[in-house]
Amino acid sequence: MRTYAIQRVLLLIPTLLVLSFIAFALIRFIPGDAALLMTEELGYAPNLEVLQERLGLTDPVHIQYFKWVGGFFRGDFGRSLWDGSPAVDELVRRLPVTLELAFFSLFLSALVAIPIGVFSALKQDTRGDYVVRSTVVLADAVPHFWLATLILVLPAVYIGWAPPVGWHSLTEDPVKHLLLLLLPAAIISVSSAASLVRITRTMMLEVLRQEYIRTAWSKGLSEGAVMYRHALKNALIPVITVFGLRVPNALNGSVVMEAVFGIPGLGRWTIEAIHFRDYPQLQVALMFTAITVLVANLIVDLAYGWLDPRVRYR
Amino acid sequence: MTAARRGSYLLVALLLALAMVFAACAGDDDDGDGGGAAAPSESTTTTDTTTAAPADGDTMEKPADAMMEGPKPVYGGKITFASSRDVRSGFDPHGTSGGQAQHQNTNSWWYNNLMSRSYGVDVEGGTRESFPDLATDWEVSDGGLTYTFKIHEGVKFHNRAPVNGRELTSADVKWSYERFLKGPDSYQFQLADIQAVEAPDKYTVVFRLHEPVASFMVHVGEPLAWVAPQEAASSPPQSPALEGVLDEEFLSTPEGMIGSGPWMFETWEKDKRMTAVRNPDYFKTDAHGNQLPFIDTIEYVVIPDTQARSAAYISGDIDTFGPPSGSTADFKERNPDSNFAQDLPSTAPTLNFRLDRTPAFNDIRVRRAIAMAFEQQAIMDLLLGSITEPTYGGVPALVFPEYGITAAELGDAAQWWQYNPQAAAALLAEAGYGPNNPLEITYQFSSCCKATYYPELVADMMDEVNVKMTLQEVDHSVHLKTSNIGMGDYDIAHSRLKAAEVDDLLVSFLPGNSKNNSHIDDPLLTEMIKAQRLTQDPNQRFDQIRQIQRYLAGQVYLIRIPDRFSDFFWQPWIKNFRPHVGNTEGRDWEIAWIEEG
Repeated sequence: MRTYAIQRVLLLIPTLLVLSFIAFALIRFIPGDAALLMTEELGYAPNLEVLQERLGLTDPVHIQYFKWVGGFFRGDFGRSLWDGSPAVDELVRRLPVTLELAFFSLFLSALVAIPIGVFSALKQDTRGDYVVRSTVVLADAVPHFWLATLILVLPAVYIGWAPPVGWHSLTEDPVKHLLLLLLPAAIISVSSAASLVRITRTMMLEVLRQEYIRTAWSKGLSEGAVMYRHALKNALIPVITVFGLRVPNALNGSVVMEAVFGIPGLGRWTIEAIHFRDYPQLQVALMFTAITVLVANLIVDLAYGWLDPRVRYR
Repeated sequence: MTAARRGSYLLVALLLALAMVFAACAGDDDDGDGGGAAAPSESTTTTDTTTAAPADGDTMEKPADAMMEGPKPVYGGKITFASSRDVRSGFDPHGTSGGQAQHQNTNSWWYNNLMSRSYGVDVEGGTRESFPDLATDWEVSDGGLTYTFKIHEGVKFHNRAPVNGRELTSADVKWSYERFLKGPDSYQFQLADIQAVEAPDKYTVVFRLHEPVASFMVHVGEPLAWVAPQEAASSPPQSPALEGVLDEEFLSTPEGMIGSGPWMFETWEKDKRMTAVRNPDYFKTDAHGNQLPFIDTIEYVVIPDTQARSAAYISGDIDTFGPPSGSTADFKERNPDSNFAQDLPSTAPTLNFRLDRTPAFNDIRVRRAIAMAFEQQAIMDLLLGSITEPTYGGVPALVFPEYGITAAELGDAAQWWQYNPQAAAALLAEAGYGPNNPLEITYQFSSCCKATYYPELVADMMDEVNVKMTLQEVDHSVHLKTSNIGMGDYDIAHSRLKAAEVDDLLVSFLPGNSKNNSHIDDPLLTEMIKAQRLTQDPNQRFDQIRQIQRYLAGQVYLIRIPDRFSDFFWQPWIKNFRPHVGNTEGRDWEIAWIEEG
């Protein structure tokens, strides 16, 4: 197990190197740069060439890349081209907000989806099962941004209520903080929950047909013991896989929700970095998002061993 | 699965789908344009005091402050706006007027200027005159080459270190104007006629101009050279872009926002909110002697999404909203208690012909044919809801109604601006273009700034007269690098020009001007435009501009596109308030108060 974990961690290094190249190159394919925006749109500097040189944008691209990667290994993640502040400072401020939103949404989806999936499996082909399955199809099809707009606008129009305005941190105002997070997290969790309901139902149905379940019934165990001690625990292994795969989705979903609900997280910061061609800011945002996803996947993989004793790491 | 079960399954799915459709139909139909902070963000307004071009020797006295009739003002309370975006590159008041809308608006919270754009509850939108701010009176001499301003005595900067409430003097005004003129602001050209600024005594500021331009009194009221304390001068700025250009770091920081304005900086949390508190030592009183401002706290919160801002306004969490992304009439109907005001747009959307690149456009028949095929009414009906006016010549009637010209006043040139695709096709045929030999041109536009509303419609119109347009949508930064400055690989492009004074639009027809995107070089037109710039008599200048309008209508060097009004809503509990576009919201708010209940 330990060897496997070390191997997986070491594998992250080449993965991150490839990701660093992608993160660096992608933004440069978009025409224009920060200096151009500053001079032409914002009237922020008198001479484009001078400004580009000052911002380090005239160096050959490979030199810019090696400077950035070198800095990354030294703990220097670059500075915003616009206000000169260290990009990592802002990242440290924003990453927890996005992670909180993403994990809150995952928590909500698991909280709702697993019981519903189990219910649907136990009530297979009943009215309740059909309602669940129809709702799941619909939930999977509804786009986040559309649902968010409805949830924002309809209560405002009909009952004069809207989510709290502006961001409040947990320490500043816990109630407003949770209220602010609850709606976007719930919206992000809709599609995650739909996937989880489906996989939970399918796996429960499969497990319920296994012989060891029949044995458990024949031993005279209670329904609760059969379902939750023997069936559910085994059915959850693939559910955990899907759950891990939903981490990137939750992070992606937070990009839209942060913009809609005015949450100052990493997603909004990333969009602004693209809009303003703030290369260091975008690169840092992409790298840390990638690291978060890789670590989440690693944790999921390692969790198999704990959930299923048959799994052995080599 | 049995047929009955399958049927119930489908029924459930259908009911859920219907519920969603019903919910969608019941929602606000604003479609979200992604822009538009709650507070006015750009453009021009006016006041009711000074004229744009005072005659030589005129002395003008400060008019009464805000009209204060009706209920007694109430002190206290908090006003909250929503902004789509936060300040991005520091707070220097002299470096960034061209962009960051929120920065421009908040400048008027802490700073004053010699003159201001219009404000006051009785001042209608579209009034284009400067209103005194720090100035008490002024005099024009030397044939319009010298402007002497007297400023208020006893005006104090905010009581914050390192200024600590010292008196604002003419030396600060001089320093601020010189610093602005030294800086990189893209709207610096509006004050470029200033040759020197002098401060002969503590309360007198003298501007000496290169030329006696008629537009100076309007431009001096623009939100550009905010008066800041000289103590701000210190080390290099926070933003790398301003290094070696404006070397005052302190002014770029939130703590450096120390002016003489009605509110003082309190807190800023990036991408969350900015809060300001009442300046107890503000130098202004209202017409009844009440100390201004009335409102204790003013803040903006960052809400990027238009629909979220709309919802926050409807639920009463923010105090202003506008313009709505959808129908203004619909929003008014849904919010009958809201106050509403409308202002003129300050930008002129334009179709620029590339005279330097596309030989066909040097044939006046081609330009005229395109104008005849351009159905303004269709744009107004389909895209703007008819709440606008057609536009001819170089000065749109909606931006500068006083100089706008009607079709009837165009004389012979009127024929080129009447929608007539048959005549347009005939004219193009004369120029050598027909069904077998269509004029093929590339139309470049950016996805920004609502330009995407027009191109398909314009291409359809042109298709009718054998002009085949290839639409070329480009990233906004590419647009800035090419079509916004009249360069690049295209024949016709969409641009948008911001104007505070009619001269800002007219100088864009001069050869060498950075906004001359069509590369017009017409000696007669140049002479006419330069002449109006130096005409001090308003009536004579009016006639000159009308003459230019008629000339431009005949030449069709470009086509100005109809635009929509700027709409504002504010909550019913806000009293003595009338917003005006133009990034001087502090002046509008300093006379307002909140009436609870």
